[in-house]
Amino acid sequence: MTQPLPSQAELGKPFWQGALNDKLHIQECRSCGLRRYPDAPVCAQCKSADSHWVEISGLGTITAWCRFHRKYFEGFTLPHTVLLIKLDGGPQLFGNWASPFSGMQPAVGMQVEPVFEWIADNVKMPRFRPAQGNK
Amino acid sequence: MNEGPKRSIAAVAGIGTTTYGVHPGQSSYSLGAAALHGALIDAGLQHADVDSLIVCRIPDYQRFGEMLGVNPCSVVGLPGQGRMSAVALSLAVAQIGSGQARTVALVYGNDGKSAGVKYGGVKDTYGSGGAAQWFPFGMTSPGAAHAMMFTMHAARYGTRAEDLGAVAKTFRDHASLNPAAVMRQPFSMDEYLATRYIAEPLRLLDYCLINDGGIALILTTASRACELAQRPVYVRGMSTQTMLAGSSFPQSDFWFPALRAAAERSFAAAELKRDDVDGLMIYDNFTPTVLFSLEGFGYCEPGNSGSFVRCGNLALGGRYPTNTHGGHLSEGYMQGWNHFLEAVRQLRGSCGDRQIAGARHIHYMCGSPIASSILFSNLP
Repeated sequence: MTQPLPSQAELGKPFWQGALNDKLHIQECRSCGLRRYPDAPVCAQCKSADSHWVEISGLGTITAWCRFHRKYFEGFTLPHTVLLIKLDGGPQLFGNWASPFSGMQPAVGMQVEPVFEWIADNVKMPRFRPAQGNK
Repeated sequence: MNEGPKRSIAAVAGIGTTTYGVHPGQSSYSLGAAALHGALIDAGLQHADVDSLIVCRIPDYQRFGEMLGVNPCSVVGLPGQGRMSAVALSLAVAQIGSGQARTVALVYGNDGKSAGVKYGGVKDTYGSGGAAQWFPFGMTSPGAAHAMMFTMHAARYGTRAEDLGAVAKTFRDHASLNPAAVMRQPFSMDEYLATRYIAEPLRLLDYCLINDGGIALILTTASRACELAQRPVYVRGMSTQTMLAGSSFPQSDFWFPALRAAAERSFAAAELKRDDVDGLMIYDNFTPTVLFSLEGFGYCEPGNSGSFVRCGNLALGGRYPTNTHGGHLSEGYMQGWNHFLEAVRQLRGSCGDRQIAGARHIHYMCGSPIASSILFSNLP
């Protein structure tokens, strides 16, 4: 069985459409510039309802992690790691290691970059690996 | 500025509880009804005396009232989240303080064990029901969120697994003195460290239990409580403070601003200081919450909670005996309600082997997106 797939709700679609093109798209408030995830109809900072989606690099820093030893979902091999990532110039995002790095020990403060992997026929997912280049 | 209710407007006049464990064939309705029956007997009151009914985790307040055949002036139903126990108590105190109610029954019923309730995963309806957007990332469950917060705390302050183990061990030792506790067998630190991970770095013994049970409290005005059957336990001061902004994510500040605000307002209302407090009831869904609470509610400096616990401050005989019933980790997961009961028992002096000698003031605290701080006292 496949892993849980993203909702096809209209508001969040640009994130997943961007991922199909190996790009990380994030919602940005047109009024105050705050970038937000998860998507929301209103800006939590200035309360404006005016927003658009922008492309960001996806580079970021691990701020927390955990490793699941108990099975909650199909499609994840135990133990599986979930990272909390503060994106450069962007919001926080949960993420998983890219497949070749699935056994890697995470550390708070580690720099990471996105890799886009197919998780279903028409769905690509941003996953992460240790940052390769200079930052 | 929210000043909160004035000092000792309301008092706990009665408490009731079922046993905790597995109760097949029971429901949150029947468990709540049994607990309410006990609380009314304890207070020397009857169902008809209740003019406000607050139910928590019982799915339908209307059916519960119909089942009991009662018509209180007001009724409200709150969802089955642990943070709601203090919200319920706050509402009861506000109703009593404003004259909207004279006698409030707070009733909690939990059939989570027998109903097979899941905290985490696609069938989660209690723990992280709003978090389905994270499922594609494999993220789920309150335990995992607390595991992440612990990795932040460990990275910042060097907090270790042994600090969590000291919390779990202390509460289990207390539970060994409590015949009503579900888990009573003490364990060593080595045994703690050898238990399996659930959401690493948290182990099985860092998690609260899942069990069935019911609890009820009767609150009334401070003056009327003095005329009833039991020695009154006053809600001397209380406050809540939310941190809903950004709460989809594990909080890197461990809710400290909210915990501090709730603590300061409740101490001010109660006209008490931490030095006056004889014991603590800390909401312990997971062991890291206890560390965050000790720091955020001001019992030790940020980063020092691990050594604070390992020095024995939380043990019976220590400076701040904590969760003398065993807490959610070892007595039962009654989502704050069993902490209220233990505070009342301590202040009535009815705790037997686990009594805090001469207890006058007990501080309940909950670190969560609805932080709460309650000072229970046997002095108005």
